Amino acid sequence: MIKLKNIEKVYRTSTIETLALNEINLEVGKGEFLSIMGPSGCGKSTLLNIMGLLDEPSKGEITVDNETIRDFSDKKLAHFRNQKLGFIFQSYHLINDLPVLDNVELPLLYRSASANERTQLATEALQKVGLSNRVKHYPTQLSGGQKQRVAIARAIVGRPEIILADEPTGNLDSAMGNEIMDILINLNKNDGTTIVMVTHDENMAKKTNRLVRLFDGTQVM
Amino acid sequence: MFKHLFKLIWKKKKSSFLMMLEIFVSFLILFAVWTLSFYNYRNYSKPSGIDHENVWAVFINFNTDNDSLKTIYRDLVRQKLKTYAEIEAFAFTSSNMPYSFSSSNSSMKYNGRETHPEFMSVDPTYPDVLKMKLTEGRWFTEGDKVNKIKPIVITQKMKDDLFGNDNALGKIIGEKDDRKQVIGVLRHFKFENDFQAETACMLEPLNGWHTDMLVRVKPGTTVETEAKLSKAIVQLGKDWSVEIQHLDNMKANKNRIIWVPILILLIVCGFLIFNVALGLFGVLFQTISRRKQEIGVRRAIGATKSHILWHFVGETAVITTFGIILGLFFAIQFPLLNVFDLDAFTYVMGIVLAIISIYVLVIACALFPSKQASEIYPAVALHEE
Amino acid sequence: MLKNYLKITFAVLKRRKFFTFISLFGISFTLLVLVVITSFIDHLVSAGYPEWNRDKSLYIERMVQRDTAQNGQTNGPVSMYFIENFVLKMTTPQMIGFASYPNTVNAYANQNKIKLMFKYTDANFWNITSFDFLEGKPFNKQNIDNNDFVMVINDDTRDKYFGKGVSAVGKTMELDNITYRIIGVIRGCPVTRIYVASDVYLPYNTSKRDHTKKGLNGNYMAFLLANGPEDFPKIKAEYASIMRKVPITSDDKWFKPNKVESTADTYVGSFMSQFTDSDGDTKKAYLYMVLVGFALLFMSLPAINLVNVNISRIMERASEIGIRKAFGASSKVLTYQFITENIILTLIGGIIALILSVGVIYFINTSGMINYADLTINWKVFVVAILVSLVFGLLSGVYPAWRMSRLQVVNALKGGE
Repeated sequence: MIKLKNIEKVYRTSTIETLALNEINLEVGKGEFLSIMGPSGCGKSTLLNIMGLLDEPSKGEITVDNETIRDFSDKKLAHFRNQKLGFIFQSYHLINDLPVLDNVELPLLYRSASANERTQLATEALQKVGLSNRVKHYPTQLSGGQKQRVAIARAIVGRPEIILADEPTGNLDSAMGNEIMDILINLNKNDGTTIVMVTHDENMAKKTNRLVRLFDGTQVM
Repeated sequence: MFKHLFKLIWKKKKSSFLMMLEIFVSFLILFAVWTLSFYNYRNYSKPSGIDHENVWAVFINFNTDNDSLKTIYRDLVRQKLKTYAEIEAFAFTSSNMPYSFSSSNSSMKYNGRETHPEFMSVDPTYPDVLKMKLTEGRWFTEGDKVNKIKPIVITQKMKDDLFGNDNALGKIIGEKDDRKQVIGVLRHFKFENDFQAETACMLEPLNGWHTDMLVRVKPGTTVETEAKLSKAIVQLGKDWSVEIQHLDNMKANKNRIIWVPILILLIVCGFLIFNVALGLFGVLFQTISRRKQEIGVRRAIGATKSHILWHFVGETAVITTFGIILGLFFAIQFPLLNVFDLDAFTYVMGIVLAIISIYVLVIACALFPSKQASEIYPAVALHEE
Repeated sequence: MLKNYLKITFAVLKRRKFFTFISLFGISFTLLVLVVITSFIDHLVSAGYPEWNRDKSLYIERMVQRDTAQNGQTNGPVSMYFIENFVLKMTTPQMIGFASYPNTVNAYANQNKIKLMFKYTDANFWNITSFDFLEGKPFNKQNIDNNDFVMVINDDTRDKYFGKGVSAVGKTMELDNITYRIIGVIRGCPVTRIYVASDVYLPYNTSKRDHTKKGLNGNYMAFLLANGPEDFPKIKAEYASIMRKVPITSDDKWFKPNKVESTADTYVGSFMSQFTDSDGDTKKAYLYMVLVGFALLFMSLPAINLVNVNISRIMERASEIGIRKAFGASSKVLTYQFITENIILTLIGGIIALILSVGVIYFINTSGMINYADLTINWKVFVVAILVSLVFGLLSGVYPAWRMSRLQVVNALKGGE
């Protein structure tokens, strides 16, 4: 599903050069639930950003769904993200000024879908995460776990083949964290969605199919 | 998409309120400025109907209140002026000649319609001096003076006011001793200044007491001739005094009274609006830097750069629309209540121009910060805490 | 502590250059317009050369004759006949002078036409006004009794007629075929002092026609000099009682007035009576209200803008505030910081406005738009305008500062939602 070949990422400022990722070769198969672990600053998030086409590698090749990403225009990249990828973040990144339903509808705004279609898809997505009774609430009125469930609904509303989750349970207590993990596992098992998750938490990582460890930008396992 | 923008703004109405208020006040200011400018421009672009070049105004004071003496004196002056080769034409007129500061008007009625024309009382040679042309009918002649019913020439505006679409020629207005018959119609006659609207005006044969003149001289006539002429007239009688002014100076003077205040107003309003534009620009910049993460999310889930650009321009346009709608409510009262006696078209143009200029201004202010927003790197924006 | 506030203030203003510019532009431009407009109004209204006695003077310059039966009226300056027979009989003013409204005449000199404003005055006119005589002297009672054809001219006329700086006293000038001998040259005054400004001043008895007319309306106005404003009611009352006794006559066929009205007004009041058809002094309050109203309306837009920019400016610093709070800054300290910033900003704006105003006023005075213009900055208005913008600055600073200072540290650190 995702193939990384010799990926390198270098951050440059005027004085220093930092090697964030070094010679990463990684393949994520269709329907796989992969977790990436490693200490702070090891390059996990950079790797996820590159997989999510939010960041470009300094070197190397990336192939998503049999398409090699090279010199894609901004428009094409955006379209690709919109159609094939779903994102979940540690701090949810919901838009506080929009009610839950509108937050979930957001990805559909950037593709041609009628208002009715959008509402229907968003309602279904919210049902899947068990939040159909909170559609009119604003994110500020929800608990952390509820917010993350909205974020998951937003990630799956466009039926993407891949979900990229950046420490989805990082801001939650273990009970809520487990709830979120159960939803993700369900998505992986029942819908066959490919999931790549960055985490700190060994317990969460253990629940996934495969574990990749990073240390100082290098893949160690 | 519009609903999406509307929801966002509605939730933030408290912080958008000040911006809306600013747009609202700016709209009213621009409405006033445009209405005023458009009104004056429209009047300015119409022909004045007279040729003021090489025309002098001669103000004579015969120093007598006796009307029959004045008639004799006027003939003396006429005889004298005929001897000058430099003079092409001349006419006695009431003191409210074009571009003078004097005015004389009264109301006239016809079949229940009423108007307040300027009354001018002039010699039959008047149109030769000012090169005026009639659209209908004829000017009065020396021979008309004996008529019991006074022949008059009226402006188009006066015709419209009194007779509507009917033919005005031959119509008699006034009663008993004071009847007047319309014998000619003038399409354009701007006698106050170049910014004058179409005005009702009525010209009738000269009355007994008027002692001011308009004189058309040959091009290139010098000040020496003016001094000679002035002296020659004064010497005709005892205790007379004469003052000569040039119509082009008088016109420039009267025009200045109109355009100088307008220009000052435009400059002040221009600065006010510029001030607002700067403020909007700053506020938008700040708003966008505060919403970096939102931009990051939108980019991550599939928004292109131009989506982001138009999203922010759109939000600003929606707030602007609210401000304008509020402003429209007030602006529309002017044509509805007919404040200031301007025609509805002028107000509508004022409103349209104000709306266009507000949108142009706001979108211009929004474009640059929104462009910056669209350039934000999603990976960075998402991880900035 | 204050020193610390100031230090941070300047650092912030320097760092946020764009916001600083917007705020300064708004403040200084608004103040500039207010200062220039009020200095112009001040120029029109306040005592100035040569009318230093304006605040101690009342003016009679208008007479309305009404024909209530036919609903007609004649309205205009008073006649010389009226002044000689009624106004000069008054006892309460310290001194009474009169002058005609200016008229224009052409003088021809060396193939040039000079358009001159001329005015007929009496001898007291020169005592009530305080013209500077560059040479010669004004005409006096003696000249008038002798029926001398003498004149006083201003320096502008002298320069145009005789040449720049050439002495003119003793020379003659011809106006409408009458030769006048120049006995004095004054430093001219701006035409905006409309009751006294002219190019040429002639003794009233040399007027060809004003003598013979017997109507109440004419071309003249009277200056009543009082010992001080406290005498105004007394003088007004005397004039009112004279007005009640003025006989109404008319030899006009059509117009038969049965009521005459005229009041002695202060300078501003005399303008107001022209618009209100009544004693203008009673309406002065309205005039000031209208002016203040306009000023507030004009200031409203920059004020909203200032509030808006200030809120943005402060919100932008949410995370900085979070850090400061995290390190123990109290809400009070933060509020004071914002207040200091706004005061400094307003004061800098004020100084810029002051410099610009001086420039604009200098430009108006020297550009020749108004001959002899002598506009000065009205400090009272400037200080009031500064205070008003300080209030706006404080209001616009205190509200967001108060909101910010109540922010939870964590939220503030996140950028403040």
